[in-house]
Amino acid sequence: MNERELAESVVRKLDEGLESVPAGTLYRLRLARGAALSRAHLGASASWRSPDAPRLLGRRLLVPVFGLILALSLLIVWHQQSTTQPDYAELDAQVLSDELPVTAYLDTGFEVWLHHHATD
Amino acid sequence: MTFWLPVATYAGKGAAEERGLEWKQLSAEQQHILAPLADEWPKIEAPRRGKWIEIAKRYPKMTPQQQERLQSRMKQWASMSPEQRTQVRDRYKKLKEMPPEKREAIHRRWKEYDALSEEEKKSLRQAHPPRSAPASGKL
Repeated sequence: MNERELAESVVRKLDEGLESVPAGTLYRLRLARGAALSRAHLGASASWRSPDAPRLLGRRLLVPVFGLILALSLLIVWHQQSTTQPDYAELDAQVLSDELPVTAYLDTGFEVWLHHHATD
Repeated sequence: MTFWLPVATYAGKGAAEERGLEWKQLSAEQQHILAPLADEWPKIEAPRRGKWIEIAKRYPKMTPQQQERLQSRMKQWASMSPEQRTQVRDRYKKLKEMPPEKREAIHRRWKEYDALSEEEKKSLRQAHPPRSAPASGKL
């Protein structure tokens, strides 16, 4: 008996046995098959809508949200550092210790004086 | 929530920074350097207090002459308006960009101008400001 003949024999025996299965057992088998098929269908067509979906969605959002918070924190640190204005401190230190007093830059009389002597 | 910790920390720190360092919180050395500002300190807002502390850090590296100039001008600088300070900074930067001989010429002119009598200075101030002074002589 080859493989095909064996399979045909098994199918025939099963078909013969099917006729002797009680009606109640057939009904329960039909119900179980239907339930199994509907579960399989649900899993294949709507996997991301499964009961785990909210949790998965939360995990997917975690990375961008964390990135946003990190960027915000870096921005805050940068802002804190920039408020000390180290460049202004350096420039102001130079202006205030320079040979020319700060009044010279604001004195309109000196501006006129320079203008008068510009061609000398 | 831990996510908001940096923001909460910043908010708390911000409130502290809004007040800035009080005079008594400065070191003895900082107080010595910034002594001309002691009376003005409560009126100086936090970012500017921070800037003065930064300036004080540069003080030890200056020559005695520069240190003297800095301290003698602190009070006046602190009492100036932000617009005046911006104007001075801009003009200072222009001066620094000039060739050394032109900078020297302006310094010389200042000494001459400074030696004038108050009447003469007043007269010059009352004169119409020059509309377009040559670049070599204008600050």
